[in-house]
Parts: sequence; C-alpha cells; structure tokens
Amino acid sequence: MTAMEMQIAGSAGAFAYEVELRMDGPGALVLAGPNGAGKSTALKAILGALRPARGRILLGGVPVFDAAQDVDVPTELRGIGYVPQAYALFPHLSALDNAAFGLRGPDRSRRARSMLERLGVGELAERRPGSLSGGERQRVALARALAPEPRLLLLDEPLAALDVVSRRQVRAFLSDRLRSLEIPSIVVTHDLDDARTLGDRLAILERGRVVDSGDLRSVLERRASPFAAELASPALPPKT
Amino acid sequence: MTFRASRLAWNVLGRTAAAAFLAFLVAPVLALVLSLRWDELTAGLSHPLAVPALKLTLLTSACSLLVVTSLGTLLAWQLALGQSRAARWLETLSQIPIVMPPAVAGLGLLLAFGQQGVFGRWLTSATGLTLPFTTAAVVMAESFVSAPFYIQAAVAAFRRLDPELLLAARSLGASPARVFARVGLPLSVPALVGGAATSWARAIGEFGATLMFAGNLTGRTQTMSLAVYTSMESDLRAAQSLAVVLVAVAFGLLAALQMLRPASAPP
Repeated sequence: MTAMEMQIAGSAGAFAYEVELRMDGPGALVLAGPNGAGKSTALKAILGALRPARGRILLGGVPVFDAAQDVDVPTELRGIGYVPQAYALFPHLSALDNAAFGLRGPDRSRRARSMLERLGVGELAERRPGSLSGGERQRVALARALAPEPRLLLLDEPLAALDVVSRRQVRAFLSDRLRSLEIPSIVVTHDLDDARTLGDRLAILERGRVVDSGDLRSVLERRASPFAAELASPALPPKT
Repeated sequence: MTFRASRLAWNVLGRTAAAAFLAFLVAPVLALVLSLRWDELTAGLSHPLAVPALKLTLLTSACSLLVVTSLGTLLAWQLALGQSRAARWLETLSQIPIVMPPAVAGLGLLLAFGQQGVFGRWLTSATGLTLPFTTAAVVMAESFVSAPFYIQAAVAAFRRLDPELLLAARSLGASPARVFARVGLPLSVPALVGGAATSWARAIGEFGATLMFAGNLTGRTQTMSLAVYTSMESDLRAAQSLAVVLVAVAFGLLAALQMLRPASAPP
C-alpha cells in the first residue's frame, strides 16, 4: 500500500498539466520546479481545493479523489496537514488557539500546548501571530498542521516568507523535523537550496509534468531538465 | 511656476475647496440647530407626535438592523465566495435598492407584499396576515432600502480575506460553517460594524418607501422622518425640533457604534 499516490490531469486556463507522484512511506518528498510549473496546482489538488478533470488521488490506499468514480472527498475530511507559504496563522487567535484549531475534545488545549512545546515554541502559547518572528510563525504553523495527526503533511514554499539570515536556521530545523516525522510530507518549492536540503526524495515539475523523480542524489545526477541541471550545478561537479 | 509656488497654490486651493465642501455638508445641520431656541426645542419635544415617533423609529430601525446584519451577512458570505459570472450578477441584483427611488421601492413593496400583491396574496390566503400599513411593513421598507449598504461592505470585507486562511482552516477539519464562524466572521468584524452603521443611518432616515408601503399612522407606522413631514404642515418649529432630535439620536447611535468598533482589523 502506498502512502500517497496521484495521477491527475486537466487544465487551468491555457495551462495543461499531467502529474504523477507516488510516495511509499514516511519521509519528505520535495516537489521542485520553476515558477508556473504547476506545483501549486498539484498541491491544491491533493488538498481538495482544485478538482482535476481526470485521474485519482489515494492517501494510504484510500481514494480521496477519483474522477471516474466521482469521488471527491472535501478538504476538511482528507486529513492533510497544510502549512501555507506565508503560514496563514489566524491573526485573531493566540498561538495556542491556532495550534488547537484542528483539535476536538476536552484535552485539546493540553495537546496543542504539548505540540507547541515539541516544536520549541511552548513559551509563545499566549502570543498572537502578529508579535512573532517569521521562524516562530513557521513553528506555530507546523504545530497547528501536525496537532490533528494528519496522514500527510504539505508545505508550500515553507521558507519563502523568511529573511536570508533566519532562513538558514529554519531550514536546518525543518529538515530535521520532516525527516523525523512518522508521516509522509511533500514540500513544494522553487528555491534551489530548499530543494536540495529539505527532503530525501525529489520530483522535478516543469510545464505541468513531472520530468524526473527519485531519491535526491540520483535526480541531481541525471539532470533531466534545465531546472534539474541548475539544481545540481552547485551540489555536484559538472559532467565531463 | 516654481516648485514651491506650485506646492503653495495646491495647498491653498485644495484646503479651500475641502473646507468649502465640508461647510456645505455641515450647513443644513447647523441651520437646524442654531436657528432653534431652547424653549422652542423643549416645546417641540412635548409635541404629541414626538415620543411615539421616536420610539417607533428606534424599534423599527433596530429590527431592520437585526434583519439586515443577520441575513445580509449570510448573503454577503455566499456572494463573496462565488467566483462565477452568475455570482457577480447576483451581487449586482443585491444592490438594486440603491438605485431605486424610495417611492418606487415603496410601490414595489406594495405590489409584491400588498394584500393583492404577487406574494402578499399567498400570505393573506395562507395565514390571514396583511403586511401593508403595519409596523412590520416599516421594518420591511427600512430593511429593503438599507440592506445594500451593509451587503456591499460585508462582501468587500469577505473578499479581502486571505483565501489561504480559509483553506488552512478547512485542512484542519473545519466545516464550511465553522470556517465562516471562526475565521471569516471574526476577521471581518470592523468592516461589518462600519457597514452596519451606514445601513442603520439609512434606516433611521427612511421616508419614501415607508410612506408608500406602511403609511403614516401615529404610533404604528409614523417614524421620526414622517413625523417631521406631518408636523411641517401645521407647525414649522415643532418639525424643526423633531428634526434636531432625529439628527441627535442618529448621530449619537452612529458615534456609539463607531466607538464599539475595533480600532483596526487584525494584521
């Protein structure tokens, strides 16, 4: 049984896409590509915010979308943790209430606090997002997404909202966290450094298609497209 | 012309024009207040039309505010979420009362909900109720003319919400109703209060549609605006007193509403 399997196709205006992705178990898959490659389309389709014309998406072997069978599980029932690009923390709620948003039951506050503590931001529980730094916001957003124990974690350009200095620290933190999770995660990015460091597996998306995928090292070595070659160039010596 | 002279000319012209226009907007209010002596005001307040009309205005405008904010918020949310061309058309439809002259609005209400009206005759045959010339008709007229102001403000506020906030909430298991109640609504409160204030002001001052659909019956359908109109025929000073009270009440209510409004939307 695969952790996540997706074959979708469709078009958004003049942009046509046909994306296939597969994850067999826990670990982080980086979905990288230049701007306009279709990364957000793939991410929104997994989340259920966009309905592809054809194909299907399975989470843990269970279809959450199947165009042929007319299956389209709504976003709120897919069990996917989502960390948006600018984190989209609810500005009117404290960090604790943000982290508890997806939880139910009398112990929701305790579970949310525990998740904030695991991510090193327990002392910020009563603070509003507006008073937090970019790195702190990201940790709260991660705590919020992980607290309901999702089946899959999606991160959209997780470091794009950070300045250069904090980006390096947060990248190391995030890389460790994603590798230690017991669920699969997909990191969408167009940033070359993020693509090289945040996951063990890499899929390159260009012009609406996955042009190469596999473990990080082999994809970088193959240089199957101009973006992949650019991605590989600082990490590996040029081919002779 | 040098840069400094041009800047000076702009400042003088701009400020003079702004001051003149502001004076034009304030002049009728000042004329109402300043040309009335204190004893004339107190005499006007003891006019038999004053207290019933004031009570009715507060009651009906509060009822219409409740109708407009509750149903208008739900309508605005649906309109704001709609991406299709049809949704845009529906939004335009919701603004129709703004472009209708109040008397025409009153005639329309009468033809729709009157005893022989398109929908009114069903209501009468099913329940025995007739709406025209009742206090309920005043609330309907006020709701009709004031709703678009609130809906417009609410749709704009909901459209300004970051779609990623709503998507993040849904990914956390929130149903569409919970997304609305826990995210969309609280984040839009400042703009909704502003829209409600404008809508309430319009309801308090409503005249034409009320006169056509509800009539001018003391204690039942005669609001302050209608009382001013009625007393004008016999006693100009009494009409002026009622008008000053209406302006003071409306201004006081709006000031109170603005004070309740949060200073700014959360970032």
